[in-house]
Amino acid sequence: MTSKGAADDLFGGLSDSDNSDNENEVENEKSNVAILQDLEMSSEDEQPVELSPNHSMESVSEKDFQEQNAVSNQSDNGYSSSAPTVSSSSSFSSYYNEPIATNETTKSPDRNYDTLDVGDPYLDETQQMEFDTNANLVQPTNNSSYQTPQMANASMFSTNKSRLEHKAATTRRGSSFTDKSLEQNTVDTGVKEEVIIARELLIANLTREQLDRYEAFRKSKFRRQPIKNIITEVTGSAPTETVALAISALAKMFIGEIVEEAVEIRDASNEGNKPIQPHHVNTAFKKLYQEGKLWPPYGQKY
Amino acid sequence: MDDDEDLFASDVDEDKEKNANPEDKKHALRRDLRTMVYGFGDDKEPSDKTLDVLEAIVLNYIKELCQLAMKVGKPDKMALEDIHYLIRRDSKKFSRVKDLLSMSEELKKARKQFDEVKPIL
Repeated sequence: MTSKGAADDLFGGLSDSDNSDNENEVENEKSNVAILQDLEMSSEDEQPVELSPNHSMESVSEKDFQEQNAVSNQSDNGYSSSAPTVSSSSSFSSYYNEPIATNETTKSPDRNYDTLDVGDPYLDETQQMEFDTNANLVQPTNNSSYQTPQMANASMFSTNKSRLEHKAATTRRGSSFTDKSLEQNTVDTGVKEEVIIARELLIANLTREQLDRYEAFRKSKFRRQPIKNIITEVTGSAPTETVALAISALAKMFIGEIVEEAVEIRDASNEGNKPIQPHHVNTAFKKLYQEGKLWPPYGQKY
Repeated sequence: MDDDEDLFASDVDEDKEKNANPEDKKHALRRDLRTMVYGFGDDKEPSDKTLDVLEAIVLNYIKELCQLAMKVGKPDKMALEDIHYLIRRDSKKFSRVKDLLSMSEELKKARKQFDEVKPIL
């Protein structure tokens, strides 16, 4: 689960034989007709088609992502073979050239079913908020990498559906957590540089007040010891460092969601000059609760 | 000073903490919370009542989360089950936690290497 484990799998898990198996499978299944169909599908993808709420945004950022990826992927040649193919498979012309990629991408959409299935609109939101508010800029790492599989996912829906389901089924049962993180790792390394550049650019252009706020956002955290005390109170045994770290991160993000929502509500009701009042917070909480965004521990899965 | 007390706190001291200073009623999270709330979009000086509410929310959140996590798997707390638990739900939180954990792993490794080199120096 940790990066160390992922790194080990990076060297152990990615072998040519794995790819070639998939390759054979795909090549056998794909006829010329299917390829032509795919081409048609992929050309449809070029225009913003409403296959998912995210779709139009993805098609734009997908191109950007690839440009950056091509530039910044030099060091990753060893195991980035899956990374460019993941992204390029979802693009247009290279779709039929990369049979491997189609299978790679079918792995990750599976992950999307579980996590982003209903969360798509939320992801969209967060991406837009990325440069508007002080949303956590670590997100893009995840968003972009989730986008690429989604891109392929959308086009895959209309083609060989049974193949997709078959792949999804096997990966759901068979793939370990580290397989997914392996894939995400390879995509991440390419995306990280892009993210860093984007972030620097953004920070350079902030006003003083925004910069101040951003600094507060980044620096603020819950101190480890009080969190540990609380956890010990609840569970009866002292938590490990990692658990405390995770919990404090989650707590920060949790408040972040509520406060951001409360700020929106406050601004909507034109009380812009006053600090947030408890009733804003309460309204925000209820709203998020009903949307199911507070799921663990409040509310229900949707 | 509050931190020092927390560091050495035993079960006995916990009661003392709550009764001793009215400041401790705010709990040690208050100061951090103030900055955090500003970072997330509130005014520079957030209202005290709001901080009260938010603090209560955070405490409740952590408690609920821990209780839920305890139901999953062993009666004890495991790091993995926490995170796996949230995978299904929240990609944003999950990726953030994953990044943090991997970063702290790297830091640990780096420190270890540094410590190994240090005696030689």
